[in-house]
Amino acid sequence: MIIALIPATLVHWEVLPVWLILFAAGVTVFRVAVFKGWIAELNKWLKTSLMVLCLLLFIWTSRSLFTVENAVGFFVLAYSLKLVELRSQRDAYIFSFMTLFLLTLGLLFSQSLFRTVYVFFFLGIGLVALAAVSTRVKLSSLTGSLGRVYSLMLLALPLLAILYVVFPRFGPLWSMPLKSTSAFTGLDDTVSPGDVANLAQSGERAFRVTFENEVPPKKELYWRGLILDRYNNGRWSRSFIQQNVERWNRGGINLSRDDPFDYEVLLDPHNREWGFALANARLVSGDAYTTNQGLVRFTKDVKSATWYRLADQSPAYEELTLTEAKRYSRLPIEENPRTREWARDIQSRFGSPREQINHVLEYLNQNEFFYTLSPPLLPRANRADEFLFGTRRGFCEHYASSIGILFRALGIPTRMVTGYQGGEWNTQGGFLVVHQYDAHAWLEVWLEQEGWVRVDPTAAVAPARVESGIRDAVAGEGTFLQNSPLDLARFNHVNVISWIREQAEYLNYQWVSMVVNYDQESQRSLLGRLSGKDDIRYVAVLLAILAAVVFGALGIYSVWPEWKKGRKQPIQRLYHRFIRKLAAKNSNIHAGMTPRQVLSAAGAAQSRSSVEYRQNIRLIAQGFEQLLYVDEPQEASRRQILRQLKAKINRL
Amino acid sequence: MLNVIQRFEERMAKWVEKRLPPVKEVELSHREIFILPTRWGLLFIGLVGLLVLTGINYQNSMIMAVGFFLFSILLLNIVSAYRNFSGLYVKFHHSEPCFAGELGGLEFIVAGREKGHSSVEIGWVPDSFVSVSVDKGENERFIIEHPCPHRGRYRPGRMLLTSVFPMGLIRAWSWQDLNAEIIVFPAPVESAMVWGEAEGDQESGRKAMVPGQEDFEGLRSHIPGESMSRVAWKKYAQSGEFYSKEFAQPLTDPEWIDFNAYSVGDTEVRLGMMCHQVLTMHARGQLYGLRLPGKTISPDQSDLHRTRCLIALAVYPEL
Repeated sequence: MIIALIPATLVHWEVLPVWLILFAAGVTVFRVAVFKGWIAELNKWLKTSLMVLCLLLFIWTSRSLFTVENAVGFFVLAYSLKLVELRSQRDAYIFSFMTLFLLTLGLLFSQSLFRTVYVFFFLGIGLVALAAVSTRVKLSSLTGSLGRVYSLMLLALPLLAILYVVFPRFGPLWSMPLKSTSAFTGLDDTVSPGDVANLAQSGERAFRVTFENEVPPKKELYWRGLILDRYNNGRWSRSFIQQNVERWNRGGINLSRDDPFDYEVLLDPHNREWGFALANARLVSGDAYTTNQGLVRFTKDVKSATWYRLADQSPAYEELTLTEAKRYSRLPIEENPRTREWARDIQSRFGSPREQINHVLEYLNQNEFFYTLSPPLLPRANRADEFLFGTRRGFCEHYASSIGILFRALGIPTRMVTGYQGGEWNTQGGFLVVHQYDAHAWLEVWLEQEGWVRVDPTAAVAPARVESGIRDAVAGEGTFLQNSPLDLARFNHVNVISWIREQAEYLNYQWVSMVVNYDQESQRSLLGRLSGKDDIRYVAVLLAILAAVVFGALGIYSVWPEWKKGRKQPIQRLYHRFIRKLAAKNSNIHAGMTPRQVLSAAGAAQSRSSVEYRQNIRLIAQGFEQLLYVDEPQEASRRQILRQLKAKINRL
Repeated sequence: MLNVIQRFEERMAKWVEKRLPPVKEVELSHREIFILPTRWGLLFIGLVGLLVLTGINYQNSMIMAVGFFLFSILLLNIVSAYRNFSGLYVKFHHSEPCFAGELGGLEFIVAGREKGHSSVEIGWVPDSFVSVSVDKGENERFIIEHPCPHRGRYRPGRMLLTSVFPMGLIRAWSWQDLNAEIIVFPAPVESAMVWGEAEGDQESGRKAMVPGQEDFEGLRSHIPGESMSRVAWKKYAQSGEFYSKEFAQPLTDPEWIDFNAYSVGDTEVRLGMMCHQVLTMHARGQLYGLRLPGKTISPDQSDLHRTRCLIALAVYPEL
């Protein structure tokens, strides 16, 4: 049981302060030592002071008190302290229960297949502890209860599956006071140089996509997440207008899961309210909506893996009002003078915005610009100038930002779009995995007659980035995931590793999309399909039937041995019935009497009863004697006697 | 309020009495087994509820799944508790008589006829419990010690068979009256009183004071049933055979321990004194007889005789 503490604590290693883990380990060692008799129990004063010390340390190390992480931390602390004073059976019970609870809390922070298997496996240890505590099992016979508990757990799995499928799903009943503060990796809604580059160091998954139809070529996979329309103080961000547009201009209508769609996105939790979609997307189903700018938005932050389905729609031409055009080309005055100068130069040479853009992209392509994950630092002021005419080494955000400034200086309505570009194809599962290192920033410009058009300056500098991904784009410098040297994604050129990665990714995808994401809508869809109609009454009937089946099976399972035995001994069964019938009237008669004893007992007490009644009892008793003690060779005649007896007893 | 509870308890007792009449042996079946969650089981249900709520509120499917899983475990616990408990065969075997105020040992047999049974506690409320486990096809004897405060044929009555197997969440139990009985001898009451003053037995009373059986006479082979205190252990150690030491028998009449000879005390006290007397006489190896109103045991001196006398004292006024 002591051992249960280790996995229960370890499951939380990522959110716990180090000292708490060390403390838990220390307590474990202490408990084992006490158990072995090496040291004595702590006395009351020592225990109290230890508790106070821990509490103080806890408050001191945790900055904000009311978060999920701190609640878990506090629970671990209480749990470890409980182990310090583990004495009575009651303590042990409580400790086992805490183990179960704490392990389960581990699923708060991740619901991956690995984490789930881990939690369920060690729940078994908790249950074994419970079994050991309740029956006071000695350590030596613990293996027996281990086997018993795990076989019980196996039996529980089908039950669990049924409950999981049919238990009604609904939204949160109330919002929890404890929020999580753990940093999710993902895009932010402002971009200043260096942000995306940090993201590119993360091998974590952002989302996964399955396509219903043909998969677009990789260089077309621009997953739009955010539109940053405001440039100020060296950073791109969302203006209030943009934020309102996103909030109120809901484009798509929420339809059912069974409607046709083009691709399905399974978004990993990033604690933000935005999703990602290709251009010109319309949401088909999911707990979200698409704005009229084709962005996917959720009504609340995404805290668990979430899916949504999208359909392509033909691009709609959007007319830009004068104020909007102004807003999209607004720049702080007196910044980046050289860039402005260059803009003026371009303007004088090329007439149409299209030509101007093409010239800029060509210029980027023809001149010494480098795509790198470790660009030199830029000064705070005039970053576009410094970049375009100085360092010329940068990452997508440098290009998007500087060129965006240039375009705006040219008077072209321009906005920065951030999201992801590309993705890794999983051949096993037939889906696309988009990682954090696929994060990307590009531009959208508004052109007369055409509307918003995508322009990616990075693609002009490093075509490899959009055609085969960042790994190849920076292959020469070895900076890909350089901060996480053990990430398997780094070793993708090794065939075995890429295969393992792909398999694991596939399994996890199946796990999340089939199991973890089973929600209200998928439940209705599944149960509706099972019952044939999309009607909640059928579902109710189905539920009732399932419950009946489950409990019936449980019942049969429990009385099966008795029933089997009863089948084997029809005579004994009938005889018991006979005795019970008599015993109800005559207290002298009880189970375990022979027919002759019954007869004499009945005769002694029942003088008042009718002659016929006594005669009947006599006949039945004799019949039983014959059946029980006389060997009757004919099976048929035995059966006949039994039938007669049955009839007589029924009449009694 | 108390009255209601009392009435309820009485009715329950009556109901149990009717449903589970006294039997010589029992093989537990669904008719006799009751199952309810223990307080830990209730807490466990609370834990399940908490987890499901957490799962719903944080929209976390897997936490809900754990809740469902633990709930399934609880359901299976019921089944498992039932299966462990049913088919358990219990029978009262015999009991070793004891003196009033001592712990009497009642021996029972449990057997696993169809399957094994683990961690079944058998005994009487509140604290005479023994935990028994028995494997399939095996049987197990065990002794439950039970305080026997009063002389007589003591029947502890309905006993509780219970088990919280496998995880302490579910308690399966049954009340069974297995007709267990133990004979409780009166507690020996030491008395300085000599019963010589009583009329009738004056002579023999006085003679009882004469020590006449200290004279060692010789050895003869041991007769089974003879007092072990008379075995010549030294001889046994030498030869490996039992010899009994023979003492010179007093020529006087055997002593009578007579109920009527006691002038003081109520029946119980007198029986206690008689018990003491029997023990003393037996320890001395003296010939003695017992007279109770309506029953006489002729003088003898074997262990069997001693037991017979004590039983007669225990069950008095039964004959």
